Amino acid sequence: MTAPDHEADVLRAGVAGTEAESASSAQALDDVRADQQRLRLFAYLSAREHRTYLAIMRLFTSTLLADLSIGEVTAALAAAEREGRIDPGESELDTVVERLKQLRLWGNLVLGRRETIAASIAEFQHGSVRYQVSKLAVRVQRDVDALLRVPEGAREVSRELLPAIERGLGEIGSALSAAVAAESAEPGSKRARRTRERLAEHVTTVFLQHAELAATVRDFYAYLGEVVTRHHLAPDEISGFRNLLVEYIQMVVEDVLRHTETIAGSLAGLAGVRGELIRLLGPADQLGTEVERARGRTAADWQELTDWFVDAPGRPSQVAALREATARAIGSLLASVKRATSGSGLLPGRRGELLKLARWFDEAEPPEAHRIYAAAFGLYSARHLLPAPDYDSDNHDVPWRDGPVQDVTVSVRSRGDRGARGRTSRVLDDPMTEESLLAEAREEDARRGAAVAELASAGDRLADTRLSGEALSVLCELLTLAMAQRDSSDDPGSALDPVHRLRVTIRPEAGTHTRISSSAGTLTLTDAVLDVHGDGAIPAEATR
Amino acid sequence: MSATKAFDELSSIDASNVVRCARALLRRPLLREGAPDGDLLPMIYRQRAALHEVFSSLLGYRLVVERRFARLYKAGPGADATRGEPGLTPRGYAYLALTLATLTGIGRQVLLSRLVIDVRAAAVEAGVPVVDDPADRRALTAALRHLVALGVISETEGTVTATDSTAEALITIDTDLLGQLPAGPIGTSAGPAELVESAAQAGPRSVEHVVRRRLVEDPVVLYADLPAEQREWLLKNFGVESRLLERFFGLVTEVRSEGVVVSDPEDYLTDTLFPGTGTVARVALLALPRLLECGEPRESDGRHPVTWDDLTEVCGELIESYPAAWSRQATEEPAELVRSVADLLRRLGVLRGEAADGTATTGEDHGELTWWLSPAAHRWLPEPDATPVPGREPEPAPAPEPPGLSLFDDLEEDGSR
Repeated sequence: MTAPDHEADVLRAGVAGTEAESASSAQALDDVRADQQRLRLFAYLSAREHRTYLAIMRLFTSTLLADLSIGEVTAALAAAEREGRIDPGESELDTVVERLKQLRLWGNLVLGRRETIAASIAEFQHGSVRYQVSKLAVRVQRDVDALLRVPEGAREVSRELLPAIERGLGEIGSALSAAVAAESAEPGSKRARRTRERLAEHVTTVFLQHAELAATVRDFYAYLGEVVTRHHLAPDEISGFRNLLVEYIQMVVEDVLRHTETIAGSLAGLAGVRGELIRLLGPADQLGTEVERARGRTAADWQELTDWFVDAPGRPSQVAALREATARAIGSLLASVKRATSGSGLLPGRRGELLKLARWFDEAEPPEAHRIYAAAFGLYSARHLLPAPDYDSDNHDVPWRDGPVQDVTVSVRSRGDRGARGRTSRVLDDPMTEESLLAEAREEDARRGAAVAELASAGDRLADTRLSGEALSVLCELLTLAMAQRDSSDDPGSALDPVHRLRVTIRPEAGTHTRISSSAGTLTLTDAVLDVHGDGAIPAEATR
Repeated sequence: MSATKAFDELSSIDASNVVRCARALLRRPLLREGAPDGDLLPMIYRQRAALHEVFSSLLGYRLVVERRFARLYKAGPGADATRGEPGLTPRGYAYLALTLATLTGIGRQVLLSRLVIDVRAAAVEAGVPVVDDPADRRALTAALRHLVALGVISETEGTVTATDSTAEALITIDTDLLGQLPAGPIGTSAGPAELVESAAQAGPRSVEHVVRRRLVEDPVVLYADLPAEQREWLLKNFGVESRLLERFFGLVTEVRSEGVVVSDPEDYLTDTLFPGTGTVARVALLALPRLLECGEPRESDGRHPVTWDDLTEVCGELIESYPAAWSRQATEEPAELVRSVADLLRRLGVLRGEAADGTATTGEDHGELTWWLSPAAHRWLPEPDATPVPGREPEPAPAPEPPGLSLFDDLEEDGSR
């Protein structure tokens, strides 16, 4: 406990705060001890024989002013043992004495007055002690019984208390003014006392109603919170939620919001006269200072009530919290209902599976974890080798080492990635065919070049030269073109080999026979003259 | 193929669209808007009937198609440890599962801080110890980033990478995608081993589906690796399968006496491009012919034995022969390069480590394992586009070389082209 807290405590208790600092820390230590002492009141609940202890405590709390001797307790326990509510043998006298002593040690029971009238000497010796229950132990036992009785489901919110509180606050207002008027008119009169008592009645009622309302709201939302964070929803639960959702939560929140405004107004009005109100409710002189006052008798109680309904800067009211919690709960519930009913979405039941999976992952070695991931999520891509084979590459009888292979050029010239991947193009980059075709073309070129050169060098002496077969076929080719140029057989015609610039001209000339001999035979042209013009440099270029 | 009636009735354009969509789904089983290939979603939605039919009848895969996403529920890959997320450690995976578990109950939006608190709470619930050290935070961040990549969560404000900055990130959850993530039988499995095994199980037409899945998903399928029943089925049906894979998935088979390699002529349907352009991929490819010479293939499945020392030596020679070709990192850390090369070849199903008892393993203890090169490694004939630096023995000519090629090789080296 911190010092300021402690000082506040001191002030609240009405004790003059004159102790030295060292004393206050000693006090704090004492408080801790006192708390521990009080918490021991719960010890019997977790003891092994808690059924017996509970039976004893119920016996003591069942009547007002219970003051029981050991004999009476034993008799009551004997009945309980017959009904099987406690373990056999627990009602024996010695055991009962033991249990009662233990309860006294924990502070649940206190010694009552000593019994002097005993039915026997033995009784006097054994159980001359009567026991009573301590005040706090009653509180504990009451809470325990309430807790044990509470069902699992949602707790109904006492919405009907809201209008009652609203009305009650209004009545406090009027009762207060009546009390103040009576007090000022005739202090201490009977009427003044009566009006004060009416005021006290209203105040107590309002606070009780509010305590009940706040408790039910808190319980309801605690249940709701449990539900919305739980994920194993059974189908009937889901249909239940729908009612809970659309009907109940909405109704509660609407009610709260509807009444909040009036209540807040009344509270604001009472805040101004709070001092007067508390004075009129009066100090509990007759009960002394060490007393637990009824609710509504201190400024702190009123502040708490106001805070429940009215927002303060930096501290949202419970109503605002309620509204927010509702929005959140509806959101989550809708999501769960949608998930559970739509079939899509992660089934809430999978949470457990995923937690299990997480443990497997965490315990696995890396390769194992990769395997689990692939198996659990199936998100991996198909994987294949490149490049694709030819369509005719299914050679089922051939092993890979003998089968056709994929040529892949790998760039090793630099770090850059030029043309390293993929297959070599079959058409554009077939070097063998390309080379052979090129060679063929070159050879062809060379042969033609030689033939043209031969013709050109023959030139005018064509008639005297014996041409090669190649040269003759080139001559015939050009001659055909030249003749095709003419309109009639009387016109001259000419043709040009465009690459080698060799021109062949044919002119009609009656009576002239041109004879061209070659290794492939002799060509005779009747009534025609043939001219061949060529450039000496051309053949050299043609052969390159 | 009566099982694919809807597909058979499609026009040729529609059929080719279905093939395209099917390929996209095989490549990316969770396809969503805004992600790569996400623009195919309208077409996938239009062709969903035919796609459902193709996947369910041919592969036994479940397909969920919505307008915003498509999810192909693949079976588990079995013992293959290379199909995970390389960036995630076991702890990262654990956080992934925990985050998913947490997200199931959270609704639409959550602050990052709240999510992290809830994830840690879930970790306690799951019995996963949480230590808030940098490594742990990195694992969590990696898991969250992976979920962002999957599209399950998105950063509405701020970013998940800045976990320890003061700016608060708001996470938006795509609950539909979230629900589509788990695919395997997690709930019914008693342990991780059982999960891996049962996820890989096929449905009623088990043999056919199992073998075809392997053909579609795996780079190399050797007959010797298949159980007897599946092997017989594949040996009997590889002709039909070839046509079927081409017709429905645009894939081309390469059948040899040892097994089947399936390839994609469009170089699309794979997450690992090989041959590739990176240093590791090029070294791996150039190393293959040399490695294959290191030992005679064993009778049972045609795999060639190699040792870790062989790998190290061949990689070392390649580094020296072509000094300009490789990344600086590779030349400075040759051991790391060897490991990367081995990992790549393992991913491709070309290299396999075996423990002493002959079972395939994915253990990391490289020296202890026996390594086997798949006969499919013979399918490439890598050709460096430059000669090795002088002063070293030139690389011996790669194994079976068709005679016609030597002409071109000579021309190439003479620089006549």
